[in-house]
Amino acid sequence: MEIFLNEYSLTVDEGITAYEIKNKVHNDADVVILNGFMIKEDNILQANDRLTLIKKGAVPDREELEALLIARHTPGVFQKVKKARVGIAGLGGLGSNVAISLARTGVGKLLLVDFDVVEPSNLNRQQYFICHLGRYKTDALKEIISQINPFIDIETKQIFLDPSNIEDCFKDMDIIVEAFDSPECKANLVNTILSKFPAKYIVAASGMAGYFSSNTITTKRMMGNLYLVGDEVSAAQPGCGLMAPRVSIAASHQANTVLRLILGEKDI
Amino acid sequence: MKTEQVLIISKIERGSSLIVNGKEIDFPDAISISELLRELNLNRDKIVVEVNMEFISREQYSSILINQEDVVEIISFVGGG
Repeated sequence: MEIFLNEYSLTVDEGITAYEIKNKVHNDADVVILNGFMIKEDNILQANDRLTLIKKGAVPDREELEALLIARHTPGVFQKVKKARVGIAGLGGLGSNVAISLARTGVGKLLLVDFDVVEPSNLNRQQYFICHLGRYKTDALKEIISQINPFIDIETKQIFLDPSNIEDCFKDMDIIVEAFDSPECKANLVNTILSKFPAKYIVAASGMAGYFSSNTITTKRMMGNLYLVGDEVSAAQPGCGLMAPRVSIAASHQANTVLRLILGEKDI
Repeated sequence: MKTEQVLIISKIERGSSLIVNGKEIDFPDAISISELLRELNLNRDKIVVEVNMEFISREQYSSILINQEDVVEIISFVGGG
């Protein structure tokens, strides 16, 4: 029968176990992952099982790395996300978190769009480092992602998105993430995408300021292919700031919605 | 609280009153989206509108008239990201 060892096809005898393969091919491996789950006891393998063997501390070569990166994924997910193309509009607290989440998941193509540079007040919620201060967010985020998952095809655009350039910017994307700060920019993007690309999905966010309950942040399916994340009321304003916990909760709602859409799950 | 930003407007049994966020509002027949937004004091630059689950583009705000049997939803974006 056929199984996959570190994502490579391997023909093995029926009834062989995970540990028998480990002992034969990679005896010093100390992490054994079967179909996305780290096993602590031996298991008899079935056809098409995915077995991953990892030696802690070893730095794998580039080819092996891609297989090992996804060992904890639910089987079948990686092959689908690798073909997806996702555009992210705005690389602040929402966009930087969404981009990294999707990069870790292995989304094949990410288009990162932002006009601005990293400044100190960004660091309370956005995924940048002090060494990025003054650099374009597009460049900084591309660099960070390359250190997490170098297999993602990343395109960057340093532009201020408005109704005149949104259509051209996102025409090749399957799914668009609205990750702006200003309500006017949010509305411009959503209205333009729904008008020009009714077949594309757009995942927007509204209301994640403050330290209100985590549980008020939800995902809703709205008109057409619009999904809306947030509590819909908590605006960033004098006296109510934006902080990492709730912003990243909203960003993770957006990222999981994107993942579900890629995998064909349209319900919320 | 959160429903203040998503306005659900639907017909009630007796005439042209509407329910907005659980509250009745008086509302003339065949009002345009533009007029409705003025009535509700909503900024058209920060919203997305749907009527009967269909997206309405900004260009249609003046031409589309809402009748009593229509269901209108308005998403008002708030800042933060």
